[in-house]
Amino acid sequence: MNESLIDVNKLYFSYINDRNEINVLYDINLEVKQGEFIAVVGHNGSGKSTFAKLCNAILTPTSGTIIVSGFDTSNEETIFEIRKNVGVVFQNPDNQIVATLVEEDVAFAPENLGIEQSEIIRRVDESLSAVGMYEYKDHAVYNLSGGQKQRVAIAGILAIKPKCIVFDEATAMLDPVGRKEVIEIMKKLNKENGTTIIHITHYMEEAAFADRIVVISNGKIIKNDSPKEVFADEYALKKAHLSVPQVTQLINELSKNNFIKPKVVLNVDECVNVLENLLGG
Amino acid sequence: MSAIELKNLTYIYGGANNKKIKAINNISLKIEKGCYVGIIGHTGSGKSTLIQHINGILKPTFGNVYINGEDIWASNKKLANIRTKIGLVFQYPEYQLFEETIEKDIAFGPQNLGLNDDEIKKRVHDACIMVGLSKDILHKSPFEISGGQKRRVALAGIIAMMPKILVLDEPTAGLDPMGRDKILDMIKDYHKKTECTVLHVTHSMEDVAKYADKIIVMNKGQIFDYNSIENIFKRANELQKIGLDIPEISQVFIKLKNRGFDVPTNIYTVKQAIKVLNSLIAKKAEQ
Amino acid sequence: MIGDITIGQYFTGNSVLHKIDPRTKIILTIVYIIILFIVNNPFAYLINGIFILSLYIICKIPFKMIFSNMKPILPVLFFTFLINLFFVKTGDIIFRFWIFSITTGAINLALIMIVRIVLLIAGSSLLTYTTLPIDLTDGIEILLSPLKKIHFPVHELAMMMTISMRFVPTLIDETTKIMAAQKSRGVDMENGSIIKRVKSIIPILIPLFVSAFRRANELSIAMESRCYRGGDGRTRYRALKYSYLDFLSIIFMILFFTVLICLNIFT
Repeated sequence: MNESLIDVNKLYFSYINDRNEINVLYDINLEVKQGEFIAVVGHNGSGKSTFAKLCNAILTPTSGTIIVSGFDTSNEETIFEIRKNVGVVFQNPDNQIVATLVEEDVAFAPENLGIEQSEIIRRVDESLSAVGMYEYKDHAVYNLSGGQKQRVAIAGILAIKPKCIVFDEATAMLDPVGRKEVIEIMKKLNKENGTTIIHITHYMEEAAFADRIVVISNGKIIKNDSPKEVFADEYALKKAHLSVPQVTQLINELSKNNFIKPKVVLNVDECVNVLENLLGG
Repeated sequence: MSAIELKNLTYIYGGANNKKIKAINNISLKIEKGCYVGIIGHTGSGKSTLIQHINGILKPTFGNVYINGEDIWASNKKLANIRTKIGLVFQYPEYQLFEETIEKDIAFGPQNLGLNDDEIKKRVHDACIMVGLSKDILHKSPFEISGGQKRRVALAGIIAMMPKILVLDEPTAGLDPMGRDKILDMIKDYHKKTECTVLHVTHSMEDVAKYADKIIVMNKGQIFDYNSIENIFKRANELQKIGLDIPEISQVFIKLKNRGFDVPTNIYTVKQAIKVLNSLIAKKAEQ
Repeated sequence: MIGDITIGQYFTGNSVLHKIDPRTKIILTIVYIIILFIVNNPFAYLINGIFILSLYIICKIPFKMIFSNMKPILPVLFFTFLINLFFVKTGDIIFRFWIFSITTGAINLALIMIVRIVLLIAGSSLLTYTTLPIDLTDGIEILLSPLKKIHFPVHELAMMMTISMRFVPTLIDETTKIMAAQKSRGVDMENGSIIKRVKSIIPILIPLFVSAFRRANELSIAMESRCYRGGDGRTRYRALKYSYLDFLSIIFMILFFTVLICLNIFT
C-alpha cells in the first residue's frame, strides 16, 4: 500500500494518581498506512481512548515515540502540523461542539489556523455537504439529533482537511440510526477521499468491515490482523471482554459440528451465502 | 390486578416555536406483576416519555396511570408514596452520584424512605452483593472509580430501595460486551429473586430477546405491538420497516426465506438458529 | 421550549433593524441610554415613547413583549418609585405623615424615573430582539478590540460568551434529568420545611457541577485538538460589514437625539 502515516514505536504511557503510577499502555508498536481503515477494539478501560489522544498530541508518550507524517508528537513546535494531519472525533457530541450554529462550529478549526475568510467559507460548505448536513447550515446545534451532531463534529474535522481521522468511540453514545449515519460517512471518506480512518469502538459489528483490526486488552496489543483472522479466535476475544458478531458465532458453531469447513463470516450477507450453500447445495 | 396500567395516556409538550408535539398518543396498556418487559423503539418513538410517566416524573396531559390499581395522580401524598416503590434507572445513571463515599450514596435512597440505620446498612450490604461490588471500595469516593463500577453503584442505589417495579432506560449504554452482559445478568438476577416487575428500555433487540418475557414496540408515540417475544419476532420484517435494528440472526433468516428456503423467521438467538439449522440439515440428509 | 434559549430573545425577521450591523446597534443603544438619562422633558419622553413603539411595529415584535419584560423588574420599579417619592425634598410639600413628607418635586422625579426605566428596557431589548447572539458577541469583540492594546482579554471574553450560549440549553436539560433522577431516589422538592428543601438541592447541584466540569474538560480537549490557540492569528468566518443602512440609521438617530436634547433645553 502507500506510505506510513502514523508510526508508533515502543510506546508506553502511564500517569501518576495518588502517588501510584498507573500504566495505561505498554509496548505499543503499530504502523498505520495512508488510506487504511483500521478498527481499534478493546474493553472499557483498555487504553484505547488514550491511544486516540496520543495520535493527536493531546497526550504525549511516557516513553517511545509516535511519528505522524514525519513529525514527532513529543515535539511542541510541530504540534499544529500533527493536528492538521490527524483530527479526532470524540465520543460525546455535546462536548466537542463549540459554537451555537452549525456553520460557526465547522468554521472553528479553520479560524484557529488563520485561514483566509473566502477559503473558510468554501471549506465550511464543502465539509457540511460531505456529511450531508448542508441544509442544516444555519440551524442551532442544540436541536439536532445525536447522529446529526456527530456529523457536524465530523464536518468540523474535515474543514482542517486532515489525512487521517480518529473516531474515538464516536458511535458509543448514538442510537442505531445515528450509528449507521456515522459509519456510512466513515466508509465514504475512506473510499472517496482516501482519508485514513482509525475507528475506536467496542461494537464488533463495526470493526468487521475494517481493513485491519487492532485488539487492545489491558494496555497491550493482543491482535493486529485482518477481521477474518481476528474473528477466527473467538476465545481470545472473549478473554479480552469482547465478543464476535452473532453471524460469525453461528458459522463458527456450525463448523464445530462438522457441517461445514471452518470459515469466518463477517456480515449477514456472507452468512446467508454460506447457509445457502449448506442448505441448497 | 396489573402492576402497571395506563389508560388513554396522552402527553403533549411545546416544542420549538410553540409547536405542540404529541410524544405519546392515547396509549392503553396493562403490565402484569412480575413480568420482565422490554420496551424498544427508535429515538423519538416516545419510549423514554412513557417510562417517565410510570413514576410520575411527567404528568399525563390526558389519561391515567395506575400502579397496583391506584391512580398515582389522585393526591400528592400518594404520588410521593408510590414513587418510593418504583425504581427508575436513567440513562447513564452514574451522573447522579453525589455523596462523599459510595456507601453513603447507595444509602441515600433508603434514607429518604425513612428506614432505620440497621435496615439501611443491611440494604446497602445486600445491594452491593447483588451488583457485585466488593466491600473494600465502599469508603471510596464515587468519583474515583471506573465508569463500569460507577454504573453499578448507581444501580445499587436504586436496588437498595427494593422497588417493586424496576424501570431501566438503556442500562448498558456505553459498556463493552462483557460489561453489558454482567449488568443484564444482574438485572435478571434481581428480577428472579424479588419477583419484581421490570421495564427495560433499549435499542438492542438482542438484549431484550435474551432476557424479557414480553416486548412493547413503540412507534410514533403509539404502541406498535405488545406481545410475547415469539410473536414480536414473527413480525421481524415489519419491525425492520419501522426502522428498528433486528438481531443479525433474524436478518439472516429473513434473507434465507426471501431466497426461497422454508425457514422460520422468528429466530433471534444463535442457539435457536443452530437448533433450526441442525434439523434442516438432518432433513436434507434423509432426502 | 428550552431549545429557544439557544437563540436567546431573538425574533427572526427581515426588518431594517435586523439588517443594521450589530456594532452600529450596540453604539446607538448606548447613546440612547445616555440621552435617556440626560433628558427630563415630558414631551421628549412622549416622542421617545412613540419612536420606540413604532420600532416595535417595524420589527413586527408584539407589544406584549414589553410588558413581559417588565414583569421581573416590577419590584425594582416599585422600590425606585417609593425611594424617589419619600426622599426627594424639592418643590412644595403636598402631603405629610409622621416623619414622611411628599413633595411635588418628588412625584415628578418618581414618575420620570419610572418612565426612564420603562423606556430603557423597551429600547435596549430591541437590540437583543433583532440581533443574533453570535452577531452580538462578534460586535462586542470588534468594538472592544482596541482594548487589546492594554492587554484586556477581548477574544477570551467573546469566546466565553459564545461557549456559554452554546451550553446553557445543554445544562438546563441536564438539570431536568438530574432532578428527575433524584426525585425517583426519593428526594422531595415540593414538600417539607425550608431546611429540608434547601437540603434537597445538594443532590442536584453536586452532580450538575461534576458534569459541568467534565464537559468543560472534554470541550477543552476537543478545542485543543481542533488547533485552538487563543485569539492570536485567528481569522473570522463571519465578517461584519457596514452598509448604507448603517450610515442612514446613524444620521437618523443623530437627528432624533438632537431633537430630544433641543426639546429638553428650550421647553
